[in-house]
Amino acid sequence: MSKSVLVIDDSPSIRRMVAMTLGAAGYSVTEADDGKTGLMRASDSRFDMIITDQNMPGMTGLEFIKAFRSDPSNRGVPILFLSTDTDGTLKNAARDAGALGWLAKPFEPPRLLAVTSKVLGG
Amino acid sequence: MINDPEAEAIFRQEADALTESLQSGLLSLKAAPEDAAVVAQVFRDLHTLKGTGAMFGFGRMAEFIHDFETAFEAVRDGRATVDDNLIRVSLRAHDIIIDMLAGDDPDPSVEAEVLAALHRVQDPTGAPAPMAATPAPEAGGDGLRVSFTLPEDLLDIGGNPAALIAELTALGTGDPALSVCFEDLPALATVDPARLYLRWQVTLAGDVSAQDVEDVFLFHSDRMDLRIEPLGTPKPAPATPTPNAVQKPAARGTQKTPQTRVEDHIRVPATRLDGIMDQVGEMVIAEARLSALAAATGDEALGDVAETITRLTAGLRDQAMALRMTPLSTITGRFHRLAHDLAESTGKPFDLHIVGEETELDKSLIEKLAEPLMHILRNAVDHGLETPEGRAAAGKPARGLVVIEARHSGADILIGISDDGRGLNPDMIRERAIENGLIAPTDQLSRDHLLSLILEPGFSTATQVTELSGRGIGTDVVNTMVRSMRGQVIIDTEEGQGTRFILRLPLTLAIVDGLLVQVGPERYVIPLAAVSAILDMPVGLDFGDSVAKVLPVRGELVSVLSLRRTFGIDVPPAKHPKMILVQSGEGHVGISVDRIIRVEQTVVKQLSPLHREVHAFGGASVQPDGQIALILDVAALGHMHGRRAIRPSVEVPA
Repeated sequence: MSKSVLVIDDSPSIRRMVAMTLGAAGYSVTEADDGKTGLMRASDSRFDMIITDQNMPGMTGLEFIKAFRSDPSNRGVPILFLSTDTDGTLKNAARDAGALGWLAKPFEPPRLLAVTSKVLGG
Repeated sequence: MINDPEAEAIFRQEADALTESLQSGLLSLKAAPEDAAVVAQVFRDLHTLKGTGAMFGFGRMAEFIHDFETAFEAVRDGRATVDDNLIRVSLRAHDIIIDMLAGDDPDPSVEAEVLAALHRVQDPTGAPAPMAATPAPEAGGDGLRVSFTLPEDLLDIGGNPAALIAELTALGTGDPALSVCFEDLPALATVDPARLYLRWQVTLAGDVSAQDVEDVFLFHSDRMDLRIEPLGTPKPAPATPTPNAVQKPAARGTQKTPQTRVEDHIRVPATRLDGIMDQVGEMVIAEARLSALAAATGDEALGDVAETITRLTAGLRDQAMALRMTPLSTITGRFHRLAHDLAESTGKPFDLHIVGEETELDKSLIEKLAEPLMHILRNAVDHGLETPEGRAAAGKPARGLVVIEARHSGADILIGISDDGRGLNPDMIRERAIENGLIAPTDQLSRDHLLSLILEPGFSTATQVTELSGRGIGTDVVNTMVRSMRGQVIIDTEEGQGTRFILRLPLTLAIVDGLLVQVGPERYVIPLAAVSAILDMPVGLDFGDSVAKVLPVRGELVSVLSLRRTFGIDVPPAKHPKMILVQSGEGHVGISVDRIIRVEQTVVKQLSPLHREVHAFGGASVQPDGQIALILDVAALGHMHGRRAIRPSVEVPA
């Protein structure tokens, strides 16, 4: 079975870019346009990896990670954090909240694929 | 290969910048063949283009570039020299790359010829090339010893220690030596099975760099203790001392290997700059709110803070704007190339001088500016310059001269493109304009107005459509593009002496100094740069149902617009309305408003795509109280109503 990825971003173009890139590489991608929807999708089924943006209306990426991690059954699900922040404060906050790693925006498909396969294994 | 239009757009943008840089590099090598920095830049451009091209489905292009790159590698390594022949071949190779990027297959015979010529560069004798001096490996040609702990909570957050260790051991050749140190393992009773306690040591044989190892632990480097040491005897001392251990204590940022060069410039995606600009824009608005609040409360401490914030914000805004400023030289490369091609195709030899290339303006403007400038340059050569015989007959030197000159003028930038050709003939323009129905035979026009007619759609002075200029884009498109940048085109000509096009543009589109005015309950911003005067409206003037009236103002007949009528604001006019006299094209237009509120600097917010077609507005401004004021596009308003005003055929009230 192909590995499943949930991508949470309010920008349709980013979601689409992620969906197309990972979809073409054989991952099955589910999209959510904000943190709340993301939590709902994540409670519907267990994903192999979650990619979330930070700046979203309603619930930010950090808030999503905290809420997601507060449920012990979600242990071990890797989260990649999308960030344009370069000073690292946000990255650290995301890591503290329970993100595995980050992807600096803007990123290109090869980078996304490389990081995804690093996290999920070949 | 990536099949996403979005991703492809990113690639195309990058490819455009690279080919542009490549071409300008080649053209500057023509003038200075020995410039090693330029050779290195050409090599880098080719290398990057090859790499990304392969990723985005341009495999054939990547193959083609490989040979191109190899030729410049030979030059870089001193095995070949730059001569006119190499430049000529390289420019043709550049064009082939452009074709390939556009999806056109190059002529196979041309491609083969160019490839053969590039081959000869790297290998003139056919003998095998000597080995290029390869840079020393970053560290540890003999292998590395890596000792590390992993973040304790790695399993919780979805990390896979086994995968990381497998990735690390795969870096070395042969069987990696792996050992485990248990010393940090707590007593069994207190062990949390989901935590990681062990220290690992891996010995990697072969050519492995410290950077490779750091890449394995990408996300975790600041939450683990990672130590990297080279194995075996140190290499014979290189010119620069190499530390014999790259030690990396926990909680440190990524330490670069000693060979890493320090760049003077960092390449930042434009979107990030836009992001900063957006945030700064919001901050300017918030700052204005704070200042208004401080003034309203009269609290001295708050006032002090507000003042400091005002000063800091202004500084930040200036710096953010400066980030977006790009020198004109980023696009002049293509002008030199176009000039080179134009001289050949038209048989009119000429020199192109570019003055003030270092003049900076907003990046978004620079990009939009390239096309109009190239169009004017084409026109100048095609229609402006005479043939060498024609020039001889006119007593001019055989080589023509085209000068592109850029300079700042206050908050504007002026870019002039002048040629020493035959100039424009106002009588011929007049005839043609009458022929095309742009003006009536009875119209009396000022000389400037007459000249500006060539900017109108449907006007063309070319008696024949040439290969170069006749591509369906007329000078009117230049005008439209420049106006969309809140700029204007001014034409100056002397018959027999030449023509000069002057583009006047704002330095940035992001911020505008504006006059905030009020009409009924609505507020509008009029860009201050366009405002010539503020006058009282004539007492008792009634617009009735008409949108505009023509009035004599300071000896000129001016069309005065009622914003109330234009925008259908249904409230009675003020007792003492004001008239804002604005510059529009070559004339003035009056705008009648109820009240002038203040002069303010405002951040331009773009209108939504749904409103882009509403030409009367150039954007919106968020006021300190949170209200929106639309920014009037004075040129568009003037165009809608003003132009006709200086024709006497309009009825003039007494």
